[in-house]
Amino acid sequence: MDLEKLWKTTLAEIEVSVSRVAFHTQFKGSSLVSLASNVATVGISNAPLRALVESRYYSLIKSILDHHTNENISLIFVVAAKHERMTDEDAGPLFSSRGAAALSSYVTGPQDTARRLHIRADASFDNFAVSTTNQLAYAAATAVAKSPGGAYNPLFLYGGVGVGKTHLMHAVANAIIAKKPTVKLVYCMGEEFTNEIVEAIQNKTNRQFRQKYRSAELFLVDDVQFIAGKQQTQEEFFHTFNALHREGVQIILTSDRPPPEIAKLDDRLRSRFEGGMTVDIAPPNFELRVAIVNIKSAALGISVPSEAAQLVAANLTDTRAIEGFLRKLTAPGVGPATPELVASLLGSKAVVGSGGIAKHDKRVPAAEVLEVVAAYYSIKSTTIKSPKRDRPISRPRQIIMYLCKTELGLTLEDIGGLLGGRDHTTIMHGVETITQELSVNERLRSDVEGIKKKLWA
Amino acid sequence: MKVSVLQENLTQAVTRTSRVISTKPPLPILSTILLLATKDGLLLTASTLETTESVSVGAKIDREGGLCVPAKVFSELVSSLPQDTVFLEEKEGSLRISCGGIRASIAGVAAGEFPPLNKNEGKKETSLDKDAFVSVLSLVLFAASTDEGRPLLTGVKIVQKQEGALFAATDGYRLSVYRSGLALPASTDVVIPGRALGEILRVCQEEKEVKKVVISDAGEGQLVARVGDTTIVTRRIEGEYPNFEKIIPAKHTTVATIDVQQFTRAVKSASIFARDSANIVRLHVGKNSLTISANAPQVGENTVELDAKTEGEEGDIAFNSRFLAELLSNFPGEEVVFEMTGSLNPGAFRSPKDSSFLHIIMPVRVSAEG
Repeated sequence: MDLEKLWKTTLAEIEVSVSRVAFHTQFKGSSLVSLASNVATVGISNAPLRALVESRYYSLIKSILDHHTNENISLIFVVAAKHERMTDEDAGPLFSSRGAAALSSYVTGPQDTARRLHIRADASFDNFAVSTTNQLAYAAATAVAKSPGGAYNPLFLYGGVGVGKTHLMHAVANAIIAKKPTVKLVYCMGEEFTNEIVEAIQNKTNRQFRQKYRSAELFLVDDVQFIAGKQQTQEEFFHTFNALHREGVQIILTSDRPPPEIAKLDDRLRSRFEGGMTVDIAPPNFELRVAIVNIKSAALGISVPSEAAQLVAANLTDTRAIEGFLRKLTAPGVGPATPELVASLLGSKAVVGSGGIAKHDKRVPAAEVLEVVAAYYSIKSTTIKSPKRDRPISRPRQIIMYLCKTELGLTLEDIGGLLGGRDHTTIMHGVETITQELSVNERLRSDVEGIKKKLWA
Repeated sequence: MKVSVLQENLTQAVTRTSRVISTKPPLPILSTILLLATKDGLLLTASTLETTESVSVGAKIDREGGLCVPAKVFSELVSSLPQDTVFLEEKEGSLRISCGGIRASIAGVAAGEFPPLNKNEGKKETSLDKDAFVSVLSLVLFAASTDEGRPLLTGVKIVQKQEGALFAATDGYRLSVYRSGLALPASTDVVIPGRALGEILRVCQEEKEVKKVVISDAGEGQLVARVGDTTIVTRRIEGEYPNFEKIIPAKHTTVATIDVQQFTRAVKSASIFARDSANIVRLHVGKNSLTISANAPQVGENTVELDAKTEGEEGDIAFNSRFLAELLSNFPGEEVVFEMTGSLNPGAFRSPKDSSFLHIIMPVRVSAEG
């Protein structure tokens, strides 16, 4: 077994048995230097830490290594400090050769071009699943890729987290780079644009800044809403936008909400954003999520039977959460993705919902869930336990059922008992209602997120 | 453990050791002070893993032993005690403290939990003149970066050359180099964390009576500095330090010699206006004068003209006022020589008589019309 892999597995097991902070402090930068004739040499990043780890974790590490190698291993701990490297470029302006020509050469292949410009090479139209929720956006994006600067300029994509805005934008960029590798493409986040302006103002490099942006042949801005409320940034963006638009340069923008709803956005920018094609990408519906599961699992090289794929899609609404979950299935030691395995992984705490598969550090008692939810909706916890069934009370009650079931993994009977002796079918119905509603009801989603934050943050 | 110690001695040791404790210790044990009573005396130790500081205090030892106590509670308590003998006793995992009429008990952690202390035995020691060491450090250390993202630059490079030890620090915008006459072991070539050196410097400044700083290699990439009763152990930063020798300007076209006090005052008044425009102050070297100016569109502007001995061409250059102020506040001597070549090349500052110190600052590029 190769050392790196063995050590990675060992660390994964240590991580389970120590707290996260302790793990990161003590095992960051550690490595398995060698393993020969039953002597393992473990490298730790500095001397006091070496002594600490040796005294605290000798037997733990030994038992893990023994288990994996089926041998009786003895351990030696040595200091193996990380060798820091830095280029003159990293060291700062004093060391980098000044006036290095920006955007030097474009003679590299499309892959290189894409990587240099921070465009994700794996985002293409082929691996973008299309359904009713994103059909229009897909059509508009392909049209733009076919004839940049044509009818849909600017193309404004908006939608919630993980719906595929950035994927589509990168797919357009990749398609155009594939056709013309020398295309002068400028891609930035709204935030970066702001930072660069501040920097340009500070260093009086406005001219270089303008030159960089106004010579673009394809201009992509991700999360453009971040420029709102910043006067100078908006003005600069307005002029950049105008200069490029006049030249017929294709502009693609993404945002988490449509232009009229971006608060503190200049009216003139708003009207320009709406001047081209504004498309909404809704959160993926169930069928689309199934398709996404299939595409992503194929990309990860695992086979997920359709029944299991449907289970995943039904319980995870965010595409990033889906990806994270599928990655979990690729981990060594996890068997084939049968519906039973998927169900059990989903059923374990903290998988459901948009929170991803991060483990909660804190164990929360069910009574606290009840209290926090009640406080969140400003109702008394006794009212929640009462037989009343009006909507303002039943909705929070269902959220409690959902959280207790999916996050705490309580049984339906226990939850029923917690909520004033309700029948287990009521609980089942409540959990189901929320699971369904979560994918369509933005308000509910943010409520549940807020409650989770209160409980676990 | 059972010891008795004078309150003022204990307070000093506690205050000093607890300085190294970071505000957010990654492990609970790193927020404690280790009290260790041996036949040699009472030793207080605190650590961040990167840097470990120990202070030994003269005390009467009745029973040997050790215990870790939370630094914050312990130091606050100790400094609130009257100036009298403090009795410390470990009993069932807690520390009993009594002094004057005050009695307290603090829950502790077993001494074995503390990161094992470095046993520095039989290593070769080098002893340096403290005052010389302090003057070198105070001229170099401030140029080191505090950005943990570039670990190498947070350190000070120390190399033993033929003529003496060379110290250098840079944050990428400025560089301090000191060619000292200090003698370190011949093969010395290390990068030491600036934060640890800062603590060594501070202890040196506090220990007025101590004349020597004793440096030794503790193995495993660790370095030990001893100042009087205080020992600081720090790790080395491994890696290749940027080649700073190559950016030291070989020639210059403009030279000005300026009075340090006047220069400091001028920079200070210019920086009032520079505050609102990215701290930029402009320097103009004219015929026997140096003009320092700053302006902020919303606030106003100011100009200070100083007498200077100048040579070569006239020149314009702009710097971050913070860099100038930090250099000047540490600058030794009454006059500073400023050398430059055009407005885009780094400017160099040195002392007129002493060629051992050199400071370089990267100029800020300013457009001609602004």
